[in-house]
Amino acid sequence: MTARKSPTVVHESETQRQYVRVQIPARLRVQDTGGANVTHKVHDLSMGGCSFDPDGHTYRKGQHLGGAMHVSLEGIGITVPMKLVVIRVDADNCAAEFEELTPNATASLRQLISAYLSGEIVNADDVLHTVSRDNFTAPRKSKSTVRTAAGQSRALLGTALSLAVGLVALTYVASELYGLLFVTSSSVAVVEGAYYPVSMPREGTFRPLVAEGDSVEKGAPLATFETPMLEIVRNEALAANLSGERIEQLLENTVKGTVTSPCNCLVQRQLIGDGQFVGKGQPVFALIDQDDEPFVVARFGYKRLNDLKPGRAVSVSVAGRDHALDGEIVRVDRATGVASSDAILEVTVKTTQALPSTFINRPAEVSMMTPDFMPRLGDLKPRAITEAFAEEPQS
Amino acid sequence: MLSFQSLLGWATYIAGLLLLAGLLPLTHFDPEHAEFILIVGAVGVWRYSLGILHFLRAQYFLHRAYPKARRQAIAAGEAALPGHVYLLVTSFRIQAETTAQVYRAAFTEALATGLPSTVVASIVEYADEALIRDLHRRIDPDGTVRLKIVRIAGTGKRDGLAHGFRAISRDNPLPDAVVAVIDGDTVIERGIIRKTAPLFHVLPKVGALTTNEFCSVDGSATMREWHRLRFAQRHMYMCSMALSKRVLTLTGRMSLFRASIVASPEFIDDVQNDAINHWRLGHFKFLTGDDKSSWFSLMRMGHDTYYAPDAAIHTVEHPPDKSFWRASRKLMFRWYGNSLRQNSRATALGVSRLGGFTYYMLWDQRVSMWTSLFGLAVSIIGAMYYGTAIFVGYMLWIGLTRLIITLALRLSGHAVGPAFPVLLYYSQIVGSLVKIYVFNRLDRQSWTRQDTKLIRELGRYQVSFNKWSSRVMTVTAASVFLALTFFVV
Repeated sequence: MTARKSPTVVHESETQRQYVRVQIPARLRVQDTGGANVTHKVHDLSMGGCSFDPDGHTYRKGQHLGGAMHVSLEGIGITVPMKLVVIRVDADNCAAEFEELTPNATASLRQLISAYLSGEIVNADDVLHTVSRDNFTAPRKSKSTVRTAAGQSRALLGTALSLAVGLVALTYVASELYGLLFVTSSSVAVVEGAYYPVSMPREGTFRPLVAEGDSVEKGAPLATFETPMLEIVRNEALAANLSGERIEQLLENTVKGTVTSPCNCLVQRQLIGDGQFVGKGQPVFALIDQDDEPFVVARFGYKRLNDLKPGRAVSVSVAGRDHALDGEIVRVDRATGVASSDAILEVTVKTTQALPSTFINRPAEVSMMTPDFMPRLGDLKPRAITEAFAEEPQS
Repeated sequence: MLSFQSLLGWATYIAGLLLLAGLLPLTHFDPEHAEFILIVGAVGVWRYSLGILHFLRAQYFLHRAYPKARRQAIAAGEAALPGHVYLLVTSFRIQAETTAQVYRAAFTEALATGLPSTVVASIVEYADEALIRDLHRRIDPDGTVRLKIVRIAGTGKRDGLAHGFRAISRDNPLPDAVVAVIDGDTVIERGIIRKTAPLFHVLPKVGALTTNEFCSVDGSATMREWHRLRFAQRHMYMCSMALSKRVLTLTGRMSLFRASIVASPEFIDDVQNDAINHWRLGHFKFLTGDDKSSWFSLMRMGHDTYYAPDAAIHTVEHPPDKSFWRASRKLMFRWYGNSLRQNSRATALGVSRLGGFTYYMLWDQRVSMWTSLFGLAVSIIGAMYYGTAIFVGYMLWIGLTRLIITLALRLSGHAVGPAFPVLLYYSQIVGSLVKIYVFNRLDRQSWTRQDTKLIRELGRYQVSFNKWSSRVMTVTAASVFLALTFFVV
């Protein structure tokens, strides 16, 4: 198929310029720097601006000019008033851009240039030029994108900084994941030992004789108490229908008594303040046996049954201690009382290094590596211990 | 009307949800772990209320704001029509059948407008020129429509557009002329110009507008559904953003511009030589995403952008790969790369230029890739700590909410299918991963249809620095995200 050249097809190949420039015979009349009216010969003209011969007059870049363009075509003359701004100044060529062309001026210029281009006004040289010019242009080389030293070092610093942050985050994630995958921890655990609560034999005003942390022999006095006589004989007194005077007498008389230690123990806690009136049977001291070594009782979920065997090495962390202790499972039982599904197995653990008896009743965590050949990753996180604090310590 | 197949699909989906519900133990909501459920809930409330806001805005635009503008345009009558219509089509090595279809539609539409019009064909191949000329002669033997052919070397779509724009600007277009910028694989619907151009008359601040889009996909059923879903979502977001006259992208497929903008040197330069200066990757040119460049240029010049939901174009999608998994990743890589490259400089325009909602939405684009992964990550890690019930519960929640979103899309006027909820979640999760990947590799861009890649003449150090620092940034971002998630759980 041969392509018939249609008059409506316009070949466009101008790649560098915004507007076509036409060489229409025209003159530009403006006020020069000195304020005098001068006329310049226009080299070429487009919708955006024009270039003209400064003819010895000096203009500077950015200078605003006011004036008119006069185009004369074989007997017809058109004058277009306009404002211009100088954008480039050479010795024999001055380029200016049109400013705020009025719609009328735009229409006139459009008409002029379109007519010129469509061949209604032609110039033999131009036709030859259009035909002979290179119809394809190579793509413009992009400007070099070499970076400045400052930019490069900023990029390097930023990357290094985020690498540091990333490594910290990654380590945290890795240790959490490692713990999650290979460490089995008890749902709840507590340090237990031979533990003696000491209570009041009868009601009375409590007067302690020992302080927390003191060691006491078996049978040694821990505290005294004073009970008003009336409290002892109250029932008889009511039955005997005593006179007011007699009751007064009974109130003044008191019976003194002593609370004694049931063992060679350490006073772990004093539960009642000095001088308080205490009811019969209420615990006043918590004592722990110094001769008995404390052990840890931990609870696990049922699916851990196969991992929990007597003799299995475990790690024990106790609240208030920085480092975990090594330990060994001595017994596995079914938990007594109400137990949730993740605390159905009760495991007794003996630590290799004896726990001080002051640790009794402290919350703990028993953990082990599953499978057991996995290496331990530092000390265990104390998170589970703080959770265990919320639970009531088992007595 | 529901087909048997889609009915079966919906039934399967509902059955899946019921199964999940059955798997869920009664003790699912364990108050002991309330803390992290609260955080997940807060993120959820934020995300879902944003979705609801988009939906409500879209509904308001569709049923109140747009009909009002349309009524005004109709009332203005002939006065609202442009003085000249340009149809700029860029084609580069597209199947001849498609090219013929596209230009036939362009010539027919130019004739149908009844207005002075010019078709500008920005092409590379001589074969295309012969074809287009022949079509012109056959469809328009009287030469009512002017044809301008711009033939350039095949240096990319941006050059093609820029040369086309310059050809139009050399024509000294009338102040009220409009330019339809049409992609080489887009068939425009008859009457689209007369429908959309008058909106410029009614909305004097709007510099460009884009239209609704329907597609036929040359690919698998999943791919077809995925594209349909994407266009349905696009429609809703476009409507929502158009309410603030800030449609975020002027689709390269077909957008209508004021000729005065297209002819301005600033705009042409923005489209042809768009580049960004990245703190880490250096200065690089935009290869793909010319629609983002034109949007940015308009915003910077202070023009509004708009959406005509009742005017539509029809496109033929050719997935870049046979496998859905690979093709969807490639496409998302290109789309999200474009929008993220755009993002940082767009936010730099500031609240006063963009308006509060748009400004927020642009920031949200950077956050959304993390928030959509957050729920999933929390549910997986939570399941590892506290049991699988958390994960099952989360999946049930996702299944239900995606169903509601699908119904919301139906209300915006696009057809929906039973695969939509699943594809929605797929797009969200895989899309987020792609976004994270591409966010740290903004200099990597390629067309999916052609193997054009940006070649930067960089030194060896720069090349390997960009490669390794991109890896570092990705790992850092992922680690910090995971660390935060572990911390929350």
